[in-house]
Amino acid sequence: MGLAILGFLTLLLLTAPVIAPHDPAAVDPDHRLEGPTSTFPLGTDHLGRCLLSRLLHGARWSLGMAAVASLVILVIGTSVGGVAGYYRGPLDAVLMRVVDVLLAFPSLIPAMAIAGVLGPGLAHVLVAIVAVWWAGYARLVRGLVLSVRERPFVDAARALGARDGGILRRHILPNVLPPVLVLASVETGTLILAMASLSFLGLGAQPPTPEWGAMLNDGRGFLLTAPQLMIYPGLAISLAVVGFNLVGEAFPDYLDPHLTRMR
Amino acid sequence: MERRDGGGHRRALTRYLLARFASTVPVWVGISLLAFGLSALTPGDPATIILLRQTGEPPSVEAVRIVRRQLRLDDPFPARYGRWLLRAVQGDLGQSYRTGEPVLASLASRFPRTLAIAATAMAMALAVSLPLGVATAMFRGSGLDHGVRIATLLVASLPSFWLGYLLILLFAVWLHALPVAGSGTARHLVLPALTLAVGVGAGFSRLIRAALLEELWQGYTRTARARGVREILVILRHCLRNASIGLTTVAALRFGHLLAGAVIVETVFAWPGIGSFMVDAIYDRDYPVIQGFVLFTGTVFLALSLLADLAYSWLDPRIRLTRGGGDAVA
Repeated sequence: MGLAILGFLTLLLLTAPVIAPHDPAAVDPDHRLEGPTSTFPLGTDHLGRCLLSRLLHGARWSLGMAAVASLVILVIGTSVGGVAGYYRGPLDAVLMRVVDVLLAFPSLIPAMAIAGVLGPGLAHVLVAIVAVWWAGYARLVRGLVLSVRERPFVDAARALGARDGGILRRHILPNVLPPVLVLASVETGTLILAMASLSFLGLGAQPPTPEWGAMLNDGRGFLLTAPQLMIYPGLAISLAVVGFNLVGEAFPDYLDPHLTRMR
Repeated sequence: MERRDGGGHRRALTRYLLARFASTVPVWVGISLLAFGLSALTPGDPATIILLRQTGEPPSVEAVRIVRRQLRLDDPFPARYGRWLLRAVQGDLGQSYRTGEPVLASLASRFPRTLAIAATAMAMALAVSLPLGVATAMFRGSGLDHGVRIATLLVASLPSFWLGYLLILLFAVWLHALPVAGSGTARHLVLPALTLAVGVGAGFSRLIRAALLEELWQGYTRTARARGVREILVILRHCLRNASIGLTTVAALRFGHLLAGAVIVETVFAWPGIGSFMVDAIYDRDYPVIQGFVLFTGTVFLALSLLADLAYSWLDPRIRLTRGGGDAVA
């Protein structure tokens, strides 16, 4: 079910330029704040732009950015956690204190502060999110690496003359990756929410970019006259997050081993 | 469960408390570094910004130089950080660029209002999730259980800012039952608290169910059932009491997340707490307020997780005797 939703959204994202009935940025002063008509299936916004087209193109921004952020976070978090857990020592101690600090907050707070200080812009939001969110992955990966590096096959590889980099990549990474990918699938939903929150506060995508959170922010002033401007982008965000949460729900056992007992 | 003699026991407890407290110090220092380090990310020169605000026109090079010297902005980073930290521990977080008021006093005067929505939301969340958690644990695998699971997943996926506006539409605009936004009366508190409560309540009902199920597998539960105790009483009298230890600490940590979620919700409902204060500061590039907010909330979160641990070790004496100074987060 979760995969079906995500597949559907990916399809929309890829085909948006073809299936969108209008240019998402095309302003039409004669058709402002209209309800659904045959030309504008979901109605128009305060500048007369087609809401459906903006939503479809918005998928590329909202989901695309979350995917990029997720990937970058995955790479950084796994590398930091892997290096810290494998080499231990003072580097590990320093990195883990940094992780402690970042995880002492609910992640949105430091991300909002960083994005707020950097100023509005999608790139700034991306930087802020990445700068904070890698910490959770690093802690998870470090813990996993600590246990994997004591396993006999790692000793065997070392005895056979494998170098540290090779051991990390070829022997430790494959054992660490499955739970990390599960975490990533759950966290991508959280990331979409976080990025939409920052955009909603006016920090992320700037007009006329049809990002969903920014569309919600745009629609705030028209809540009473044209609630569809807020309802549809919110539905789109919710649908995407539900999709990721359903996928995450399918395999919680990786992250919490004693859940299997309860079934 | 073995109990040591009073003296040794108390000594172990004291040692645990001290160790736990000491472990938060480096994290707090890290938070202060993060808060101060934000100033390194600001585009533009603080002296220019301050002068621009005072006079309303681009300042001369000479004026900027004087202010930079006054604020000692050309000192190396460690010196500036040290001075800032020294003042911060004395309760001086600087003045707001916008209002000129001391940052800490502004935060402290708004914090009770943020606490009010967070606490109301917590009460709402518990009021719904406790019965739901017990019911789903009792009828595990039933239609009710599955229905609640899907419903909590859906509800937890809604962006809080969007949910807030939907609730405004429903209760304030269409039903005229509650005020749209603002503060002052208890009725103003309902919608923001409800907005926050929904996601947390959904999470709680799942947590409570999971914690109860874990207890249901323990030997004592089977014993109780074998003695003929009814299932609902087994859950309420035995499982819930044992599970409450872990749930208390989780609740304390979730309370911190409620405070963070309040940032968004306060903006939606124009609620004058610390969250909307922070958002206004971001719009106004009021950097001392942003830094102060990070240090202030960071300190609150640290205190909450410390309290959660202390509550855990107080409720469950096994922890402090076996684990020394380690983290006891459930």
